[in-house]
Amino acid sequence: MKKIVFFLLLILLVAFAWLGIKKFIMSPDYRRDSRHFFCMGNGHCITMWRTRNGVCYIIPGKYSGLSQPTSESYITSPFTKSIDIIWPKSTDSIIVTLDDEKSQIIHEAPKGIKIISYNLNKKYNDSVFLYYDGRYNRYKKGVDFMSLDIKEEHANSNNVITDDYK
Amino acid sequence: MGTLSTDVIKNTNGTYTVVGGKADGDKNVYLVNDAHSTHNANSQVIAKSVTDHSFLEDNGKAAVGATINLSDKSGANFLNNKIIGDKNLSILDYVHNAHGYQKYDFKTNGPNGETDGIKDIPVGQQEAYKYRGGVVDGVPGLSSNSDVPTVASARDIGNIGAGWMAGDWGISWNMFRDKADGLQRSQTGNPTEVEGQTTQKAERIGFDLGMKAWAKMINGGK
Repeated sequence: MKKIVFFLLLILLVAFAWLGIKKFIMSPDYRRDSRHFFCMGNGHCITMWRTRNGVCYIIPGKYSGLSQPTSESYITSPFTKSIDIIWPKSTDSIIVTLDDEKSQIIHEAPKGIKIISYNLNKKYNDSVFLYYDGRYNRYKKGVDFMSLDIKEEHANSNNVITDDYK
Repeated sequence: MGTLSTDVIKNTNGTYTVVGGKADGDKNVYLVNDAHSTHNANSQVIAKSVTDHSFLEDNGKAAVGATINLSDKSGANFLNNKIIGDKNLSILDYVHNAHGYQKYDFKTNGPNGETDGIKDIPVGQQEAYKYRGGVVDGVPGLSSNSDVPTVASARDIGNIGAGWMAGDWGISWNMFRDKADGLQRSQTGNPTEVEGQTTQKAERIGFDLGMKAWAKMINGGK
């Protein structure tokens, strides 16, 4: 009798465990991998790659690698943050504004595209790129910028933005 | 209770800027002398916020830098015309157009209701833009019975709209929470995350109003 009760309890335990695992796997909440190639009208593209380990890589160009970039400069960020990128047409320097200290610029390619923090020269950058409309600062017309909202997987700009990752 | 709430300073153009605040159940918006002051018992109350989290970010800190404009009725117009007053708006139409930067994401709308009006504002000022405050007196159920206007942040407006749609379509609060928190988990990649109190409190206000409208409708409009 004790054996029967034990096996019944064991079956119930396995069933509940399976249902729990299934719910977790099937849940839309489960962390997923996603990638976008956001491209500006001037031809420059940025990869937004949200990985399963909870880190988002922001990489200049279209990065299709399956592992962490090792030969490019890039930005790492949590999913909840936003990043502004200014990338004029004929330059190999990108100026970025990170809205949180948890986002970081990683330099892996000293000879490649340079990623520079906007705040390193904020006063000058403000004067070149922004104007005040009486209530808010805004990017001047003609500035090649892209605002990335990682949580919403969205990019916007004054300019045309396309997502070339299909 | 009621010793701290939203503190603002007055700007030369007649608007107010948030300089401090705390969630303590007090919805008063107090005028203080300068950005380093906090209000006291003699401080003038210029408005009441629609929730006690209206001008608080999810980290519990005040949305410092957000502007409150007592002449701005764009949020009230949005709710009255595009959500509550649009009898042709289905829950499916709403859901397909309510993600970030879309038509019903009021916090990112432009001053004339245009989609993605936030697009040329630098990231450092986007939170202040999303927390811009306006008057909601004139929206049925949101007007206060006090001598001062009721204000809501732009973020509140979108969340009140989301709650209204769920309630007005007879969706239970638990089911709404399940979907809203599920989306939050998916977006943040954190399997235990739920929407913050600022979001939930505004959604609940909209939900309760929507549920009343739904109950009235199924009772034959009585």
